[in-house]
Amino acid sequence: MKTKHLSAWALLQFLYESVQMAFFLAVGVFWLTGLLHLRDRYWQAVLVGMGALFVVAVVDAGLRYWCFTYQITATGLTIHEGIIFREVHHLPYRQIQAVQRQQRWFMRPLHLEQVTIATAERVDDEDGIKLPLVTQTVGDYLAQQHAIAVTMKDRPDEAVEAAAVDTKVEPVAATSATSPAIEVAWHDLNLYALSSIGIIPIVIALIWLVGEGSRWLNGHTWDMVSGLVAHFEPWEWGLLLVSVVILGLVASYLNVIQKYYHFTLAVTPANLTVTHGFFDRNQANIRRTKIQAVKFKQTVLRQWLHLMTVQVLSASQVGASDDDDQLLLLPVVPQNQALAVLQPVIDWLPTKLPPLTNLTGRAKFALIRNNVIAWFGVLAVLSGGLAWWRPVFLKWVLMSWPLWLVLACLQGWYAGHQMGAATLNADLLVLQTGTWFRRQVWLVPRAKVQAVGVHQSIWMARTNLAHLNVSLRSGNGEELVEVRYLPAVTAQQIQAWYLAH
Amino acid sequence: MTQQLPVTIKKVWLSSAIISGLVDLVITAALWGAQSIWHWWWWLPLAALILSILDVVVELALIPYRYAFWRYAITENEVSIRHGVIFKQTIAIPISRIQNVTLNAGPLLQLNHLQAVSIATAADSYDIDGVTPTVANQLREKIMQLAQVSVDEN
Repeated sequence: MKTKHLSAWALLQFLYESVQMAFFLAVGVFWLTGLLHLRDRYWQAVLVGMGALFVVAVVDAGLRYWCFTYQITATGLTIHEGIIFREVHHLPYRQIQAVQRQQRWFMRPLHLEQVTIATAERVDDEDGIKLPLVTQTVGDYLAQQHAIAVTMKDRPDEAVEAAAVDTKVEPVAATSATSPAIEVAWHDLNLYALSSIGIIPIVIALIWLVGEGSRWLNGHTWDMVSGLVAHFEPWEWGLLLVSVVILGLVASYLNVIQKYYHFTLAVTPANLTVTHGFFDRNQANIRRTKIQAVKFKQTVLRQWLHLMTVQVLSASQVGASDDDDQLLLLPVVPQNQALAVLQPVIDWLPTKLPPLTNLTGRAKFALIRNNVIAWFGVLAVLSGGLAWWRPVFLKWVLMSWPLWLVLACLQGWYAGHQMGAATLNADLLVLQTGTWFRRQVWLVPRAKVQAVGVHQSIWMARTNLAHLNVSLRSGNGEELVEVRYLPAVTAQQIQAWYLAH
Repeated sequence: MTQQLPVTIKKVWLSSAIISGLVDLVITAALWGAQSIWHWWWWLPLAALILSILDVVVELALIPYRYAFWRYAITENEVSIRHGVIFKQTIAIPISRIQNVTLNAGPLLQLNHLQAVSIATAADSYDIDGVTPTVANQLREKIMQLAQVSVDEN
């Protein structure tokens, strides 16, 4: 295939990015010249300078578009980019770790999308290798070539001769090897959205907006509003509070629903591919052989609703979003069906979890004690700071101490009841942690564990307790899973199990 | 069989504790200066001085224990590292997970003719604080040889 430019619409995207940058620079120039008392004296020069910024932005966008070309060949993808510093990326299909596709809502009628390609090379989000705006057929073709290359790599005995000799980019039919996709049930997604704690930041944002109201509204309007609020009856305050909470709940609910709308997990022999989103359609994939661990997450609320979220840890970057190296496999699945649903997808998963070795009463007490000490420290520093800078609030904070300390006890108690570990067989480790009222269950194949550490302080030695640290690879870094205050014998047994095979 | 670090490592830790103490004293002096010139809180340099003294005293006092507890072992299947006085850590790394072994030596290690050995897995790296250059090279050779055998077998 000959070298091609991006879709013409990409010019608009580049223009938007460049003009946005020019706008921020112009605001900076405006502010700085004002600060240095130059704006009034040299206003013509400032105006010309700001105008020049926008002209440069337009030229930059045009040049960037012109210089960005790509070529799809039989062996890989080649991208040329850069105006002054020319860059050439050559990506053989075999080296591609993941192909992530994102289709923003305004791209959909035009059948365009953004394709991000992850390789084993360390790339940060901003500089990831991207085709900013290409037709969907290009994304389909790259995804198909990636899948073929992975199949050949994982199972070289299976000759996939059809692979990649035809570089004509045409609409790609679904491969027959794809198993039926798993879709998140609407009922479960609804429950998941309703139990989202996304309401907390939204309510905080609403409270902040009210606080900032005095700045944005003019004096008369603000006086009128504050005068009205000052005469509120208790029931009116209650109504206001309930309205804020309902508004927060609705916003949080809609956000979750649009984010995970039509969440689909497609399974091929080599890859797992997830697709989701109402406004922005996102697609990310992961090679099955790159899966390092499976993680089941539940907040305390979702524990009551018996719902779980499933993520997988990957040895490669999954893409520019989706937690980068932790692919969200299923945002929600009923707890009692999680393993049954996933076992056909990830064949090393068990059908049933083993009973875990849980913490002793002494260990639970240690977790409660640690939490109380930590919270006590935070509250002491906060109260000290307030006593110094804002003594008026000190009384309220001191009065709330018992509440926070009860919360600290509950937090420790929760963690103590969740922590646990067990080996299922010669090849699988199960770890369970509970922090900040969130339970996480990790299923880790022994072959993917990088190191196991047992930590024990001299005080823990007396009570025969130890922390178990399991080091896992996550993207290009580490994910350390720590199960605290396990019986020392169990921690040592797990370390021995790890080394024995 | 477990190995102990060479006894000269104690000199490195001693020098390190003294340097750390000197840095703490410089910070304390800066805070004292700030208190004299800009009338910062009076207790700030005092607290810094107490913490500096505590830091050095604890570091120095722990050196014999730190030395006594530091152990490493390299077998055909694993590298294990055990260290820590108050907080003891035992780390096990199978040879097959080792990606790379790096030898490095800062000025203090060089002065004492020692090298640190850094053993990297795909997730993190683990250090043997200091061994003689001969032992360091032997360790690197041995670990990489075993790692290669392990890769070939798999």
